[in-house]
Amino acid sequence: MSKVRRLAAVCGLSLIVSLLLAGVAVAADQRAVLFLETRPSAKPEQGYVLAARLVATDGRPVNEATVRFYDLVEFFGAREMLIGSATTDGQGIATLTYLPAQLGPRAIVAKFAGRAGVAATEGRASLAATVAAQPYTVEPAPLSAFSSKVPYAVGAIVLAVWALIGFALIGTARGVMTGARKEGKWQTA
Amino acid sequence: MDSRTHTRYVERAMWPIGRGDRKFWIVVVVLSAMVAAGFYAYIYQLQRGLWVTGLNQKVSWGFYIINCVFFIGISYGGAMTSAILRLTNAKWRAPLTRLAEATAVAALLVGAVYPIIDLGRPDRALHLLLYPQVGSPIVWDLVAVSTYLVASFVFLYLPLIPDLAMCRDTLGPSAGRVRRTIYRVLALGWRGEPRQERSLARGIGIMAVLIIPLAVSVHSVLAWLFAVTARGGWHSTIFAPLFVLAAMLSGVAAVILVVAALRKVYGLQEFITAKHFRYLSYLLIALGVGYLYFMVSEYLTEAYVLERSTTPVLEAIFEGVYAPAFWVFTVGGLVLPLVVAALPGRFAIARACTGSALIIGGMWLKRFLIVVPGMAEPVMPWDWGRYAPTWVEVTITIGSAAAIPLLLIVFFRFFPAMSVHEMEEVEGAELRRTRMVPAFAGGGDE
Repeated sequence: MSKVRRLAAVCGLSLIVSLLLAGVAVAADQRAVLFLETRPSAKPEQGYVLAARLVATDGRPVNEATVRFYDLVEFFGAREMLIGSATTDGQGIATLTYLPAQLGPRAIVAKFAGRAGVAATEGRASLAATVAAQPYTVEPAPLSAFSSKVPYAVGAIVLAVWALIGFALIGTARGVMTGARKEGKWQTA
Repeated sequence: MDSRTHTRYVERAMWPIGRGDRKFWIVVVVLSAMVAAGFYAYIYQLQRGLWVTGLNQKVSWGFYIINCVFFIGISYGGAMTSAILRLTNAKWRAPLTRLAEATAVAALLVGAVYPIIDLGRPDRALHLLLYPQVGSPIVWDLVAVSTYLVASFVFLYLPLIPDLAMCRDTLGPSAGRVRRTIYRVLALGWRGEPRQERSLARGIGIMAVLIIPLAVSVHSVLAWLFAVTARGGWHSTIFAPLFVLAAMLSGVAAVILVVAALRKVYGLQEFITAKHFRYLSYLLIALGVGYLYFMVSEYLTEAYVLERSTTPVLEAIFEGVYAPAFWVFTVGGLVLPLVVAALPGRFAIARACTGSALIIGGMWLKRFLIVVPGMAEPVMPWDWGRYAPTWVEVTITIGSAAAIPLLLIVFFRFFPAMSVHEMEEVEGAELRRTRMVPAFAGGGDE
């Protein structure tokens, strides 16, 4: 009798655990959709607003979720360049302002890495950038105006030195050889 | 000067040419074997890479850079000795200038090779020519050393012209056709005419003036390779003049040793006397005292301020792992030799040679103390680097050191060790061409 009760207890426990695990699995598998849209910023010089809306398949917004935004770039092959990340609000919306480095069409990707109860997802959008960040200009180093001329001055000195060496060698050789020729004529005379 | 004295000069200057007794060949074979061992070690390094040396990620400059600075310094001293003595018209210079100039060229040829030996991939040395960056001190070094090398050759060649003519006129058919042709071509038809004398004097004068700033620039650039680097113990404004003085000091010491050795080997005691060694010792003492002053000035200012990057290097040098080398250099390689050279009394030659040998050893140690502690000090919060040379570096160093005397004795087997023309010129005697011709013409091909 006691064996039967123990077996029944184990089976019951197994059933309860299985049901719990199945419930978690069902919860983790709950899908979400990420809608991404881009629009010009209210202040055009600030670039574009990237807005990602994360909603579960049942239509409820997913809040407090971190969304990462990427720009697809060509850098030794196609790569995702991280723009930044933002957290969804109560309506499941995460926004980020982005000023591209280059003009022209851009492909933007927003990614949600998933969390307990919500599966990972991503959304894509395109952007025709008509404003871009100013090209980065290196600040002139101190004394750059002066130091840019130094190589020319040093080069002139080096050339002058080589010219002097050449003059010393060739001038001496010419002088000695000319003297020798005159001596030859004198001897002949 | 009478013709008998002239003949004696010529005989003595020409004596080593083409002559080689058993001792000569033994010396040549021994030196050649050492140079060959150095070549073998380099080929070994070339095949396996720089890991066969003691160089490592933290201490990437070692024996090779030390030797580069050291040998170029010796060259500089040789050139400067000759140039200064010429410009000041020191009458006692005549038997020494050729030896000093040849030492300069030989040491420079050896020293200039070291930056390439230091490269794991020597083929990349070509990148210096193909993609030069004017902001890089290595490019400055290439320009300075190549210019100085050419100038040193010219400075050696020009005073040699009258002596080449002497070889052309004096050496008989036994010298061989090729050699006599070389003498004839290089002598440029020299006959000792006033016009030729004027041209030669002008050329030598230009080179004597030019070689001094050139040599200064070469060693300054070598110093700037260190000084423009933000490393403890290197980033010093006084480095360039310190390097220049160090080079002159070790160079004059090397000239004293070379002159003493060749004087004995070639029997030049009649022309190079104790007086010459005394004068060279005075030069050595003046340079040594100057160097001591610069060194004290450098360490005083650095040790007083104690910047964060410099302090560990100074600690390591004065009382740490490099202290034995530093104190051996300071006492045994600088102060003691100067005292030995300055002592009055007999044995001037022996004292000059002893002092010079100690100074050469000391100055090599000093270069070690500049290069290695500066490299070993960590610029990141890591342990100190360690450097111990391997047999490869030691063998290459010995081989290259042997190459200098080998180059010199080979050179003086073909060219006069003393400038007869200059000795006569200094003594104020005119070349008696009409008397000379019968004496020298025997067997000449002119």
